[in-house]
Amino acid sequence: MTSDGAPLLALDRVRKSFDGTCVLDAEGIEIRAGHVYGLMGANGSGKSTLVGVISGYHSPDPGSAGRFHGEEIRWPLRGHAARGIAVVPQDKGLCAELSVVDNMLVTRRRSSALLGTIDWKKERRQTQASLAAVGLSVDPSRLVSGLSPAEQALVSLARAFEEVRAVGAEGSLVILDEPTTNLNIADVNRVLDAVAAFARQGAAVIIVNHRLAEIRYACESVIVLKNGRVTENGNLADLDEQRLLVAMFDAPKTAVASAAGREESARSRQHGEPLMALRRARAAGDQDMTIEAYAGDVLGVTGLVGMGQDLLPYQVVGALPRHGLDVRVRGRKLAPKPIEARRAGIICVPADRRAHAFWMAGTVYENYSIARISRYSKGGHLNRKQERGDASGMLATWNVVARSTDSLMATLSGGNQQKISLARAVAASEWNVLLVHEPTQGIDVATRAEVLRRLRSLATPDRCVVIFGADYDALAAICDRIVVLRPGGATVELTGEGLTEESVAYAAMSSAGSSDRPGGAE
Amino acid sequence: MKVESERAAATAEPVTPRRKRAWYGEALRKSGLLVFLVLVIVVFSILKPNSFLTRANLITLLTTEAIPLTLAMAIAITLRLRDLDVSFAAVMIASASVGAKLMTMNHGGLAEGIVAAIVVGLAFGALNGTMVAFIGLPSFVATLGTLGIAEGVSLGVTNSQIVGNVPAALTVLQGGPGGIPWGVYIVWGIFLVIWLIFDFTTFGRLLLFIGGNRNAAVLIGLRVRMVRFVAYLATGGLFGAAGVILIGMLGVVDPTSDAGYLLGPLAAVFLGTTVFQLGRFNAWGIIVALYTLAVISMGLQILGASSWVGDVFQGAALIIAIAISHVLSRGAAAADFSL
Repeated sequence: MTSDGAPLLALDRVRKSFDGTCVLDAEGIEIRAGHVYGLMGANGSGKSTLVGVISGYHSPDPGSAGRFHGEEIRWPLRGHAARGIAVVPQDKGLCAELSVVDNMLVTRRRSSALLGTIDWKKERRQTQASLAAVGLSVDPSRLVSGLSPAEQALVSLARAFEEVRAVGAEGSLVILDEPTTNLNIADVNRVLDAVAAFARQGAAVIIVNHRLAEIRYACESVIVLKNGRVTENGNLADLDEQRLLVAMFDAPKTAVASAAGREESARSRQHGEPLMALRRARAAGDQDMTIEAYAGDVLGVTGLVGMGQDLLPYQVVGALPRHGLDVRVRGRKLAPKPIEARRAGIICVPADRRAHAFWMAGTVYENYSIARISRYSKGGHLNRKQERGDASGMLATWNVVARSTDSLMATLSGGNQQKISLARAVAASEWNVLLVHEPTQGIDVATRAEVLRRLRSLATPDRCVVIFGADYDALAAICDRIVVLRPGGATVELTGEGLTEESVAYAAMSSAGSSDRPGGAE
Repeated sequence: MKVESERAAATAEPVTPRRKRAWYGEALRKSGLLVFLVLVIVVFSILKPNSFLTRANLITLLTTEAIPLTLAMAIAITLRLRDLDVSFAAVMIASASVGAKLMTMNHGGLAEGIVAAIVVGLAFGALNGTMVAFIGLPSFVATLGTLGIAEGVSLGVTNSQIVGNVPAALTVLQGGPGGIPWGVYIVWGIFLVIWLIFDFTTFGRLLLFIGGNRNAAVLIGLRVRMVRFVAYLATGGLFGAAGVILIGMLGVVDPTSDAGYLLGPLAAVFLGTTVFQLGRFNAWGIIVALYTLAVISMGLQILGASSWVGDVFQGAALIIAIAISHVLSRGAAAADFSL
């Protein structure tokens, strides 16, 4: 593989703003044929925008300039399939209820037999050939939903490769967004090997990924974005982990958790049983996952996309199937029913307020009182005066900006909704454990700080707060301990002085398999 | 635009007294349909000064709308859950058929007939509730199946014959104080009870919240399935009660007459969301909407329109009612339906 000659894609400068806010301002990106590039960056660093610009989904701001195959690009980069660019989104873009061959047909120019009908024999043959090219042999008529995650990932690769091969593999560009999510280590290698084999045919591949071991295994070069700018761009061999982390994250911000608080929680952990314990036995070869929350704790649970931390809060209260997760509260098993969870004082504060928290067309007071509606009723008769009174008090203590208790929920800003969501959770009867999912999602900076401060103060000596999410900075700021979920069921626990955004990010990104680096490709 | 309004809300003063913006504007927006009803009455009175605004017409109107009002109030219960139960007319006729048949059989009697009619309604309600709340079938499709079964039951028990000669004890519903039939008073009583449940009880609130966001209701730990089942059961019981009132007020039961009761109540409940509590299925909105549509129907008849015009009007009214409720409640308070 040579890096001589003109690059396949050169982006001298790409800027992209939304509503006047510049989210991408990257310079000097060069993508060469025959290479695999890693694209890294924290949430909001501009990765998706960059991918969108390359795939033609976004049109960059005026002044952006670049060359594709040596030709000046006229934005947007439309008709990307015709120019040999394919993108595989994070969710793979497959329709699970359709067969493999049906999914392949989506991007294929249909073979027209008599009267424009589909020549299924030919389509199946072509599908088998494309699958074989990525080392997969499954019956094309099987449903995608019946395939393993690894097979699904390979089908999505086969489709993208086939799409650009129509123009010619050599000189084509394929972008893969988190292609190895949910895969075990053996399958990860299978997918990355298929990518490497394709690149050797003279194509360029960009992989969006955050697992350092996988990036090192698959890529020669890496492009790192931070706040829309390129912070590292070069040969991976010259970059150590520390430098990559600095390139991705800003300097540590002020921590909310006091050292004293952390010592306190460490002391309570030494005695006594956990307030809540989560255990999941994994398949053979994998480790069991164990998460224990103690009274007085502010515990963070995080990991990369697809490590399961986004499902856990809902599985704990029983709103989603538990899939072998064992939940114990003070040593006693918790039945998988939201009503039981509430009785045990386990309250879930969901991330998606519109979908899972509120009746948006209802008023503030109706949404606030619903969690303990029985308190406001005498013989079934609702005391609305008391409902409004309590809601009004809540608006004042939680510093919520709302016109009145009768304002519709939908008219409040995200931050104000989040405060009401938290206020409702802790006002509801006797709560013991607060499970908060992505508490800082979609709220402004000022409210974010306030929400974090309040979350911290909720963990009184007999209660605990467990925060699930990927906001490493927020977690590092307020948590006593952070449990990082990693592939294969392993967990890493971070405590004390070691709690910084970077340390959490590093623990999440360096997978368990990083020490025994898999054998060479081929 | 929505983002803007959210921002505006965020920067507004916390908990200020109500905006001064013309209170009557707000009142008019919330009671536009009531104003429209008055206008309609005035227009018809001018067009037909002698034959429209009469006592006889008023009593006829109240009498013919008694059954539709009961049905409308009943389906509003499940509509608050954002569920659409289309089996109502067929279940009512099935209840009435079974009840009337029992009353007129040799060994039957009044009490048995009434109990049987209500039991039939409850049974269909339990069937609907089981399918929707516990099995998780979409309400529209499940209750469409029930509609078919109920129609079959009506034809089966009556041998497809009209049932007449119902006990005189029940036909007393046809007369009453002030010339208004007892049946109408009973239906108004049912209306008031449902209004109280909707606006002043925990159950009424639970219906709205579950309808507003079922996922949130589950996550909060509300008894979502039980509430939904009870709602369908109560609705079924009301269909049965409507059947009994129908036997008494008409004196005969036509086992094929359910189609005539289908569109009116539906149009009324949807039009009712455009008045008073905007975007919500509310009791007073429903009764105003129902009587407004009935007044227009009657006015058209008096003007001499053929009977097919009435059918067209009913269908058009349903479409217009849903359209208005949809447009008025764009955004947050949408009473939209996706089946």
